[in-house]
Order: sequence, then structure tokens, then C-alpha cells
Amino acid sequence: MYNKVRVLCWIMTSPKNLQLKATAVKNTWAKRCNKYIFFSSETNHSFPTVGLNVSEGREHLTRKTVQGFLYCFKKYGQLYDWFVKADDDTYMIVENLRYFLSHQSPEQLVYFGHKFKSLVKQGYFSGGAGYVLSRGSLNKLAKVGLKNPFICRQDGGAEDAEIGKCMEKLDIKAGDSLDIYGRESFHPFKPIAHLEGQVPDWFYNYSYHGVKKGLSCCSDYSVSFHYMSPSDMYLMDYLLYHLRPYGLHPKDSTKKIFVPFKDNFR
Amino acid sequence: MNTIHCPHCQNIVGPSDIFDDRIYVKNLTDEVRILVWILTGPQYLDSRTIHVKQTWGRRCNVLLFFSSVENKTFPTIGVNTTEGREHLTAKSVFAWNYIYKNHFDDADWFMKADDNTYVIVENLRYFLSTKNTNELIFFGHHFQAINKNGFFSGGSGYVLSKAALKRYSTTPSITNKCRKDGEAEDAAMGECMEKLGVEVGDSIDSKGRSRFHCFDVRSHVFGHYPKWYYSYDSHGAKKGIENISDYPVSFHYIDPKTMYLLEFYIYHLKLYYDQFSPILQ
Repeated sequence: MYNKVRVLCWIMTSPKNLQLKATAVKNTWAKRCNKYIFFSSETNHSFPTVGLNVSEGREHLTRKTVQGFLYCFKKYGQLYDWFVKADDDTYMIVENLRYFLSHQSPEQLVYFGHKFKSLVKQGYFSGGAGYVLSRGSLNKLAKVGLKNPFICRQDGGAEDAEIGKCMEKLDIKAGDSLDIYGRESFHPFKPIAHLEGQVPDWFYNYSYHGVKKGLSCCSDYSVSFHYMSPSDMYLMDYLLYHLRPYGLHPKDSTKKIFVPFKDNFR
Repeated sequence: MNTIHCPHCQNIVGPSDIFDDRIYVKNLTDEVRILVWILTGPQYLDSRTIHVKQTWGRRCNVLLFFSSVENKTFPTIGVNTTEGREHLTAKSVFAWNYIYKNHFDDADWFMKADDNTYVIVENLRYFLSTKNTNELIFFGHHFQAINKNGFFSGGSGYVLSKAALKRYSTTPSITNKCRKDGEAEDAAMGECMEKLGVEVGDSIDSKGRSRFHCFDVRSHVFGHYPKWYYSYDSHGAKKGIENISDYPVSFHYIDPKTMYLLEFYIYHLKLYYDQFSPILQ
């Protein structure tokens, strides 16, 4: 699947986060992507990070994101099937991401993540939980959306909501990533928070498919978690890639856990 | 059962038939029967012990709870001693003899654990499947301290073979000289086993990695150890992913929240892989 579902992961970081947070991402999940790039406000040749011409700070996250997508499109737009944007405290389970994406088409105008309602009619995706664009969507975003400030806002606002509004204007669908049991795959918080239902009040108003706690919160093939500290990431690596219960087969039976996104509005 | 200390915990793991779709390709449940007894107290039943019962305890062949007070509903077996650290050894002595008298034929191996120990029962069976229960031997996280042969940490859980349990319960000439009460039941047990001629088993795997752990997962992964551990641990107080077995048996100081989290990580969250993709470490 590594060669069939080619994923480029780009991680948003900053100079002060390189040593601990970005390093943890690099040492854990980033290397499982077909390609990974770290974006920052400054170029750092040894890490390495690609410097975008943007100042640090929440007010410029949209611009950083826009520039990041443009860079990826220019250099790699035709070389990969899917383009994942993550933060330096997002942990992606890349094999599960590929598995999920293997049910989808890279040419389709669709993107996936943890869906929020409000602000955008079709919903938009939490930035922290990570979201993934098809090759087709990135193409349209870069060639059409980002060339026109009336379609895509170039700076300011909340990055995830602005990208969400822009995707809707471009007719790029916000796909669903619930598994066949109705469980979410991309998560805006840590595993314990979702399992226990210890999430902030605002989440209840934003989460498109509601909030479930207990085992219903999270697909067995979950793709991402957020607010993961460096030590959370190393721990996750041990629990996921090393620790195993003897005798239990790692794969499910032949059950299909995800279904292809069908655009019903065409 | 009133779970005031972890109000959401009971919602996390329950009868979840549709989620329990793991396939056992090798199920050792009938081949390597495990009896686990938990050392606990009436004040811990709601805050700790119930969560052992609802998580990993379910996977044991036999699960018993020993407390200073009998509780017919939980159920716990009453040991007729006062609560408190100073009486842990009395509880332990009682429990082992009780198990020998009442459950000797119900299991192949006999493990003592605490109400804040988390055991991955499949890995315990896997480890013991290559051992001989008719040998005088016991296993656990070894400390080289106090006794000549050291002892196994009580918190990490320790396991007796059938032969060791029988020797313990049927040799009054020696066990009468063993400490019958007081603190540190694990050190007392270590000393007693030494007198009985029970071998100190080694549970380090072929790659030099540990299976039984007296601290929680994070502590061993990052090496957050108290000073005393460096002089107690028999294997150099190693740390890091490369020094922990992929098939660990136990961890200690696991609170209820973390027990449910471990259930999620170990038995539910899965890594998708097909035979063609390398699992890149």
C-alpha cells in the first residue's frame, strides 16, 4: 500500500518548536509518509525546514497554510496521490491513513478530516486533527482558489475555517471519514480525552457528527490524534508499533471498515 | 458499583460485541491456565479493584480478590487481618495457602498482583508456555536486594509454578520460619522461596528486554526512575523502547483511567498493514 497510496505529509511548525515538538514528529510518524516536509517561518537547512515568507503567530496561520499548499503543489503536485496537512502536535497513524485513503479516489474533488459544523455549510475540518487533500483538490486549490482572493482568503481568520470556506467555493467536497460502525477516524484531541468524553464544551457545538465517548468515540483504525506532546508521541510509537498481545491477529477479518466517499450532489 | 473516582470509566469498556472482532490465531487460554489473585482492601474496591475486574481481569482463567474484609457481592475473600501496609504479608500468606487448598487444580500458574497492576494476560501465557510448571520456579521483576537471592517486586506481579506453590503450602518445617506478617510481602516471599529452594526465574527475552515492570509504561519508556531503583533492579535499570519486550507481561502504578486507555491501545486501536507494506519502525 506504501506504493499504491502515495502520501505527502506536511507539518506546520515554528523555529521555537523544532528541538522538541518537530523533532518528535520526525522521529516518530513523519518518516512513514512517502514524503514529509516541515514548514516554518524560517528556513533551517539542517533540520530541515522550508521557510515560508510569513511571520509567526495565530493571525498568520492562514497565510502559512496557503503558502504551504502552494509550495507542495508547485514541487510535488503531480508526484503524490494525497496531501496531508498536520500540526507539530498532531500524531498521524500513517498506515491507517493509507488504508482509509485506499477506498477513495485521488482524482476526486474531495478532502477529509474531522468535520466541524457552523461557519461553512458543508462543514470544514479541524486543523489540529490533520486533514488530507486529494491530488485533484490540491490542483484546483492552487490553480484556481489561491489565485483569487475572493475565493480563498490569503491571510487572517482561523486557518481551518478559511480553507474550509475556500474549498466549498471551489466545489471541493468535505468527505466523511466515519467507519462502518459510525466512529470517527480523525481526532482533534488526545485518545484519553475522547474515550472519557473530557472535551471542552465548544466541541459539542462544533463536531459535525456529535460527540461520543467510550469505545464509540474512535475507530479501531483511527488516523490521527491532536495535542500530543513529544513524550505522548514516543509512547504512542511503543504502544502501536511494538507492544502487541500474543496470538491476536493484527488484521481484522475481511470486513471492510471504510467505504468510498460518494458525491451525491453531482 | 459506585465509581465515584472515575465517573466515566464504566462507559469505556462494557459489552461491546460489535467492537470485539479480533481474531485469535493462537489462543493459549486452555493450554496455559492462569490464576491471578489481587491483593486489595475494602477502601479500594470502588476506586481501583473494580477496574481490574472490568479490564484485564476478565482474561484470567481464575481471578480472586483478597481483602481484610469479606465481601460476598464483589466478591472478595476476607483474610481476617487489619488493613494496612504492615499486614500485607499476612494477607499474602493466607492467600497462597487458600489458593493451594481450594484452587490447585484450576490453573497451571499462579500470579499475585496489586489492584494497580495491569497484566497483558496473552503475553503472560505466551511467556509461560515455554516453561515447565513442575519445576520449582517463580518469575517477576527481579530486585537484587535484601535477600541473597533478591526478590520479585510485588507491584509488577510475580508468578509461581505449581511445584513452587505446592512446596510453599506443604512444607511447614520451612514456612514456619518464614516471616508471617509485616510490610514488604514481596521481600518476605523472596526470602521464603529462597529457603524452600525455589529457583529465581529469568524473564528477560532473547533481545535483553524486560517483561515484568514495577513502574508504569511511561516511566520505563523514558527512564523516570527513583534513585533506589538503580541499586535494586537486577538488569541495570534500563530504559527506552528498545529495552522493553514487544510482549510485555505487566506494568504497575496504573490508575483506572490508564487501565481503560491501555485496553483501547492494546485491544482496540489497530495498525493496518498488508503483507506488502513494510512496517517502518
